[in-house]
Amino acid sequence: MSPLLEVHDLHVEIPVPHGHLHAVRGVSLTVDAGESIGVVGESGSGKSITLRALLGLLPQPAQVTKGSIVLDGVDVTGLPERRRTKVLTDAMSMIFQDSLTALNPVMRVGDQIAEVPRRRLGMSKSAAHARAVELMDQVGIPEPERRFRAYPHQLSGGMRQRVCIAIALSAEPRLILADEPTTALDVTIQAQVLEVIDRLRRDRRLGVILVSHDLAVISQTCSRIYVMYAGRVIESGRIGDLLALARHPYTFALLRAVPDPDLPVHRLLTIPGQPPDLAAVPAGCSFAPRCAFAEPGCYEVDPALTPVPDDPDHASACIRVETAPQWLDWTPADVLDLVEKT
Amino acid sequence: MTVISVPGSATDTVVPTTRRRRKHNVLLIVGLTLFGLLVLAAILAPVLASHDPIQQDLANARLAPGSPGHLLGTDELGRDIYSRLLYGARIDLRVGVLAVVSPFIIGTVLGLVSGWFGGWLDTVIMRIVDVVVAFPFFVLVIALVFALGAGTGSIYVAITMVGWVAYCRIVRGEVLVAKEQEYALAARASGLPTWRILFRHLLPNVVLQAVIYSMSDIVLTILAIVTLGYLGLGVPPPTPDWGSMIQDGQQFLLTQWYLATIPGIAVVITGLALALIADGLVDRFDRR
Amino acid sequence: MTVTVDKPPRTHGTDEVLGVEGLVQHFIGRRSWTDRLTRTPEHVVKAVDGVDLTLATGETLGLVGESGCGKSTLSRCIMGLYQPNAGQVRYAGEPVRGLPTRAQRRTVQMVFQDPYSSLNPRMTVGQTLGELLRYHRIVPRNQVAARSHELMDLVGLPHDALRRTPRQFSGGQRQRIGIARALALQPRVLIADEPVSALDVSVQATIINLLTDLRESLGLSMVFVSHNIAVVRQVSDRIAVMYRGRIVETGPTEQIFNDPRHPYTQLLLASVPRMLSSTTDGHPIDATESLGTADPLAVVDGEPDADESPYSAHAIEGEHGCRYRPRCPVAMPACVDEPGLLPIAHDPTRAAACWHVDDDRKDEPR
Repeated sequence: MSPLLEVHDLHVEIPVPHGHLHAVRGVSLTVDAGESIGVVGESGSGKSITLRALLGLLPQPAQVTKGSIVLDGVDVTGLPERRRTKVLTDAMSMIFQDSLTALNPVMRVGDQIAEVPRRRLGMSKSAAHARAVELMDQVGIPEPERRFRAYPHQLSGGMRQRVCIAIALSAEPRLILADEPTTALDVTIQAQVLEVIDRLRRDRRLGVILVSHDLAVISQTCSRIYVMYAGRVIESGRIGDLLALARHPYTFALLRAVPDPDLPVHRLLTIPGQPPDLAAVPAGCSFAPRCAFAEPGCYEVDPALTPVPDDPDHASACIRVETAPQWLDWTPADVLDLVEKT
Repeated sequence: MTVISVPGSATDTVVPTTRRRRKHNVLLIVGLTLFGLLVLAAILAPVLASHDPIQQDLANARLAPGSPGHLLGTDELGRDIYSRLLYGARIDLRVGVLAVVSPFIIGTVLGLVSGWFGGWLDTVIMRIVDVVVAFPFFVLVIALVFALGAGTGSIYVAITMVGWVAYCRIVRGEVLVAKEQEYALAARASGLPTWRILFRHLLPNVVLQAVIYSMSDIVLTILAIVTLGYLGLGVPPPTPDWGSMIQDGQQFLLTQWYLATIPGIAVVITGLALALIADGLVDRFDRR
Repeated sequence: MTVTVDKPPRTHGTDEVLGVEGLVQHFIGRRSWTDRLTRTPEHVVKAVDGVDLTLATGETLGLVGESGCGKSTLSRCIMGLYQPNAGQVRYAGEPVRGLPTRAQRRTVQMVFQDPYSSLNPRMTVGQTLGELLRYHRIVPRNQVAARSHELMDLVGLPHDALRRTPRQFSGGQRQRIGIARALALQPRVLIADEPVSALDVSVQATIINLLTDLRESLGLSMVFVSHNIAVVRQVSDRIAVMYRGRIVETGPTEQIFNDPRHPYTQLLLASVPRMLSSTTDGHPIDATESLGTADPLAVVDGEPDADESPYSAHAIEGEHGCRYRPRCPVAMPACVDEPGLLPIAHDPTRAAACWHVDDDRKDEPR
């Protein structure tokens, strides 16, 4: 059986004065029905742009310059634009970070949820109303009948994000794209909203692509993870494998740069420097200038994402991928030494 | 958990972010050059002019441009248009710029104070603004000039009394936004005196919009002088100014179109120069 | 070799550098004259509603809470950016009357949240620092440049940064500049209001480490305000948890994390997303298996609607009692009386604003 969605070698470029900003540089990913995958990366890594490119929601003047999207084993890239948009929007819905701006401020939330069933699915007014209330109930909005009549600003952040999820579900998608859906929410509410998304995934066998900067959020809700850096996927694999033994120095460092609420440490590992300017990406591995483990060869070739020895599901774009197990054994002094050298 | 510690300080290197601004600000340069030429022409009017601008010569009235001795022709009283244009620039640019400077300063300071302190001070200033705004600009200016007596002095005073409200509103609005910015809080938190925060920290960040508005305001003021001239409240004849030249030329529009058109073009060029400067300033200084 | 570095215990004096007593900061919504005519009641936002705090020399206090709980308002009151309605702020034992004096300003300084708006875009770094050094006469005029260089060294920026304007720096670098600006006045206390929440995770670590270093090398005391509980645990010796304008629990970091006493603290700690523990390491995970938070506490639903927003809810006439009661799973009739911070019997360094404080319930956070 073919996966629900496959993306192959997606490239997105944004024209800027004097050239192009290569925001996404060859991203490939797959999602199965009922599977939740995470895309993690820092700002500018291209994670949100990738998501938007899938739905044709790229901000002007960004453009997909290369790549293919395969839905249920059918390549939709070659379809005429209108047909392709229809196929993609029928299959996927998106949830945004800021629920306040994602909702129409002058329309009752219930009407916003009922809009797609009524207009696109052709339901009667009362059926659409009933459907909206049902969806609100499914995303855990208490007293859905009462809140149907509320305007977005009258609801709390958590409730608004649930409304957004209900709207996303109203089109009966098979895949949900969630762009930092809980970043704007308080931590106690975040847990609830993630729980709603996870429950829907299980109950409806939805595919979920969750984009976040928060590794912990992704580790709790996704089974597989793609780590993005400077517009590329630099490591991918099952979440447990990645957390146990990251095969790319960026992932390795990122995991140790985030404080653990249960295990405070004296010092956090830091990543020196900044991501490269995507308008002029230097030759070689884009992480090399910041990498504690970089060697001369890293500045010459940009390694492709290749499977790790003995684990075909785990891939890393690092030429030192085979020595990764030894990284764990390095002493602080070793790393210090390497940092000094670079 | 394995923990590797690495010193955290001194790791970032300073990489200047790519400047998205153009290196050579073409708009600003062209605008300033154009405006500079106009100012230069006004200053050098006695040298550049070929005739006395008020000297009448009825025998050579309404000559077409390009006539011998009269580069741009003569008006209905036989005065040399080219010379009148140059002398007119002296009056118009001076009145235009001066009549904008004082409303700019008064409006900016009141806007700063009003926006920063708020409370009753803001209420009082904004009520005064409301009163001034309630009257059409020209009605108020004309009434004031009428009360003060015609002449350039009255024009300055009248335009200042009416014109400051625009600057006050613009600056106040900008201050309301800027004072909640953390840099303004930081300046307060570090105990700097209020006047210093207002003029050193806020003013440079809020004044740009007012400066841009002032560019178009200069053109509006020149047009205001035209209107006042029409009512006999402007620059008294026979002193040449572009407004009265347009006014006088209007009646010959069908036969000698250039009488009104040439000074009109001068106004347009001035407006264009100022608009270019305004756009150039945005490019140069807008950091948002 | 695997090395585990424990957080070294730090000793600090018991003398108070910063004190807050009974602080109240209410914001009254603007009332138009039509509101007055129609006798519409004033809209009062009780952002800070009676807070007591003390900060000892060399100590770092983590102030945690969710958006709208009043933690930012509290830190701004401490900074003298607002004039509190009631209560007192003390700098080094000396009460602040009205706004802090020029000398008092030097005692407490602040690091702001947004590195993009907290620096004046029209001043170079050198101008920003030089202005403060001169105005407060920190060093003689001829040593301003030298002192600016020292400040750059302190925060790990090159000296030529002084000649640049903020827009030429990345977020992390700007936050270093913000720290240098606060340090220019040689304060004894640093108030850090969400200093890393606007930064990328890898950059967060460098700023956290920098603050930790500076605290140790300069002997600074710090109030670290954040909604990020993991970060707060990383930097704080002691924690104060805020909920709707009040502190509901306070105590040493470790004890609070090991045994939270207030039901809100318990919910907060249980809700923090955690990396999968080592038990699942290396094992493939069934995609259909639930990976959500299993703790029933985490799915307590009780978030108020926005029009019953956190602060205004309590301002409604006649509403009284414990402010957490509507969400609380262990509320009881006694909760109609709001408890103050009650000391915990076996541990005098801790207190919680809950009648259940000494119940021998072992509610572990996870």
